[in-house]
Amino acid sequence: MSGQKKAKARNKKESQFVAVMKRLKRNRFAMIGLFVIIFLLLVAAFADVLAPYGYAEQDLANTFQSPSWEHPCGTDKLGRDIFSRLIYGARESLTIGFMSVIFAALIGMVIGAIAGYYGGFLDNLLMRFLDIYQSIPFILLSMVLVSALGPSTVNTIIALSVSSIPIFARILRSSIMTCRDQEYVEAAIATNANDFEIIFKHVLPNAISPLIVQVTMSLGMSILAASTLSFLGLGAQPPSPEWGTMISEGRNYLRNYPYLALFPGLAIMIAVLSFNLLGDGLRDALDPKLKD
Amino acid sequence: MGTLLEVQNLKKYFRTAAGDLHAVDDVSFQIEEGTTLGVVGESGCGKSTLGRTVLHLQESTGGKILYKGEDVTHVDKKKLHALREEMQIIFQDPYASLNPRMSVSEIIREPLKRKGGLTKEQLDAEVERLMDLVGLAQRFANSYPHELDGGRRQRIGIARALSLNPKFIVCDEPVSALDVSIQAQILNLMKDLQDQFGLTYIFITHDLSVVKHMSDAISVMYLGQMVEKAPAKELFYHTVHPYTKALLSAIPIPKAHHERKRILLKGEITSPVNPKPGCRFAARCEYATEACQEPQKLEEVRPGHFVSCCRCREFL
Amino acid sequence: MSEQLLLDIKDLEVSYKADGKKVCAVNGVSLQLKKGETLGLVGETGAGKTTIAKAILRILPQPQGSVNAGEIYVDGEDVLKLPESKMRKIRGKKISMIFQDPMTSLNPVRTVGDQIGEAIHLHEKLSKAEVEKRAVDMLEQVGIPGSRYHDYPHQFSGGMKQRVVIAMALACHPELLLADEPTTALDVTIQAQVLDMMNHLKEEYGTSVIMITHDLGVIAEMCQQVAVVYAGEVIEYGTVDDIFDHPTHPYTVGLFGSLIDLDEDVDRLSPVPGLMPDPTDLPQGCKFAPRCPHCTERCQAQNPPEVEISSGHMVKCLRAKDGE
Repeated sequence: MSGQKKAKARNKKESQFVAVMKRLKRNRFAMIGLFVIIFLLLVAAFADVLAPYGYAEQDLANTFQSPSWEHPCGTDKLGRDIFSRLIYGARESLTIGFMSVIFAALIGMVIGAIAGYYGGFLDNLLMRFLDIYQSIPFILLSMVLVSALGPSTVNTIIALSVSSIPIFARILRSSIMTCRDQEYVEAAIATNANDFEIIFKHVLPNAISPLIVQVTMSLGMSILAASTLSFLGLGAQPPSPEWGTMISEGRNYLRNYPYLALFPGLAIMIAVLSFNLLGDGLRDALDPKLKD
Repeated sequence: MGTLLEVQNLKKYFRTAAGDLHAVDDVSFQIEEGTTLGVVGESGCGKSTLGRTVLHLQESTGGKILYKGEDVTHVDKKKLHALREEMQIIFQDPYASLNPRMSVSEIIREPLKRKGGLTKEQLDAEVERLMDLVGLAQRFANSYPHELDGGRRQRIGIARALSLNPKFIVCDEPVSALDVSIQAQILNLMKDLQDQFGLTYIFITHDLSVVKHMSDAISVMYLGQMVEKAPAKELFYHTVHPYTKALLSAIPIPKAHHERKRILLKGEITSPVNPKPGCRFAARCEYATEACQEPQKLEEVRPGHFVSCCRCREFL
Repeated sequence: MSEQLLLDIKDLEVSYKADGKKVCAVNGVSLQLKKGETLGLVGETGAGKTTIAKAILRILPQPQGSVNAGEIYVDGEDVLKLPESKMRKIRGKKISMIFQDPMTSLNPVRTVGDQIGEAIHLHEKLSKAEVEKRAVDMLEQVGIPGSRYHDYPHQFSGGMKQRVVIAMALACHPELLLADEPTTALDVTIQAQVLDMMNHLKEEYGTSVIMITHDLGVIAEMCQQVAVVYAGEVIEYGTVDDIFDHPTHPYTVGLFGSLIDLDEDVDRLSPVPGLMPDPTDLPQGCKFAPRCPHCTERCQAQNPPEVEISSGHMVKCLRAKDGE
């Protein structure tokens, strides 16, 4: 008996998270992406401690400095330290990215789950609505929304999340529709499971993986879109150190001081790339049928 | 032992773009307690739909279902839940019928937990007992279905079906996806469980040899209708319906120099969308006459042996 | 005798790499096939039957699969040593293969006539009209009206699709047909039609066939020679009479014990207990030893040699060697 108990303890069920992480670890690129993202998050969280200067701290005596020990990424036309602004910018960009995607994913999830699980008329209604919605290009819709609401960080978040709801709704709907007809759902019904249990225990956990992947990928896209809006002057407003805003400001001096736009551009690229790498890795890691 | 389940003129139609699909059309049978009714037919004959309709996994379009003499065709939620504790199902595909995100013990435990009334220790003990019962080693308790082979997975499905102590189980092609030696292991297990608990089975399959091995009585279905039903031996030794004959002759016999006359059917199975009133097999039947265009009735040609064919007397 | 030999496989070993582990799929298989003969490969899922066929055609999944040892002579020529360009001429012409699932073997966006025609066009110098005529011919050979030449795969039922696949495989009159569970996905009455048709075509063209199946009934119906495959080895080989009337290897005996006899009533079946060994972790000695009711210490230590117990009936079992 004690032997059996021991065997059980040894065989202690590893949680879903641990299993996924184990599989993710085998993908080197995904791990690089994950580390860069964690690094960026830490940078954003401790920006106050890390940044050598404030993001709006002007030093008119030292404008357009080339990168040096004192200013690793140089200074801009007002003598602000680009490096510090990049650090603060991480906070700005990541906030916009995360907030807009989380809102969009939550709303999209509810719509997708309802449409996918109940089907029929409701599904038709919601999907046709999304069809109309999606006939407007994502970036155009965001631009229109920001223009209407007035350019600011909060409005950028609202605009981006509203525009990307349909993607999430569609993805969850289709994966829920495949899971809904699985025999294990029928088995649960045959053993008296209620709708709540079926959705949350049997359907969602098996349908959510594509959504998680999409969320990760969208984070990168969202950061990129936020930067685009800022670049066009529609997003975060100066003196905010949002990366897109910084490129926008640097673009006028591209010929003489390319680093003004180069460093924020690199920051955006690295962030987006990291999210995409992680997303790709997650897609594989989240499939329980792939062998360990 | 009395009749456990009786089905009268059961109908299940599906709406399709082309018209009503008569998946189950006017099917009647009864099953004695502790026995097995085999339902055999080819893909698309409505045998799976029949099983699911009996279990209320799909609502019937017409007809009656009586369980222990009580009409349970239309029941409220409370009654349905009570009914489902007595009637269970084992699925064909041991891959699709187990939630890939749940471990073996979670899958078996779930119905018990839902039923309630057991402490955590009692639940553990019960799961352990069920796993022993179906021959699953305890070391698999925390494994996930995808880590196990088809035979073990099917054992999990059986343990789950047994967890609520059912009296009646619909077995929907439970061994079709398995290799022969594993298939034989599972069939033996199912027979043992039937003896031990006095279970009543509806055994749905396309495999005539499996159905012969398992069943006390056999019904043959073709395009939603029951064309022949009889006690197992009677059906095999005194086959009457031309379709059953063709079906029997089509099985490849694993014996050297087995000489026999094979009846090769013409054409293929169509789908029963807006079917004509006559015999649905007539188009492929070599004995078809004009009378076959009329609706057919099940006729008792020998004691307990029913055939739906207007020329059945000629084939006796 | 030997000049009639079409296929001669010698000590074939194939393995796959999966997640850093070596999957030993085929472990020293030797098989011979005479012209016009049908050889059945029977065994359970994962026994290595399909891998043997894929190795013959050299279509093992790359880069995971590799042939580690052995020779495969087709008409006296070792196909494993041929350059890929030459192999391409053999595939579909001299040797062709039918896969289990007819749904995935056909291209859904091309007409079936086109697809049969392509196989002909690739290997034979014929004009377009001649190719089309031949394709229509093939369709009719497999029992499909030639008028359906311009139909798409989705317009056919499962059994019809499998007929199209067979027509494609036979379009260039191959000398060797590898049929991998060709009727497993079909209903019994349709299976009977397709098997009947295959038997007929085989005789007409004198094609040699390797029939891969898990169904001993299909073997009895289609084959002259049978090889029972277990854990990547041929554990018993002989004529249909040898195997069905005198099964000798305990696994073969167990396989028959798992079958339900339609003419007899038994209450319980007597299957082989247990499961096939994990191909990444095969037992030493006899691969069947862990499940064998007659297993001795010797069996666990030593991989049994092939023993000829009667003319042409080979068994890989120590018991057979001792004449028990």
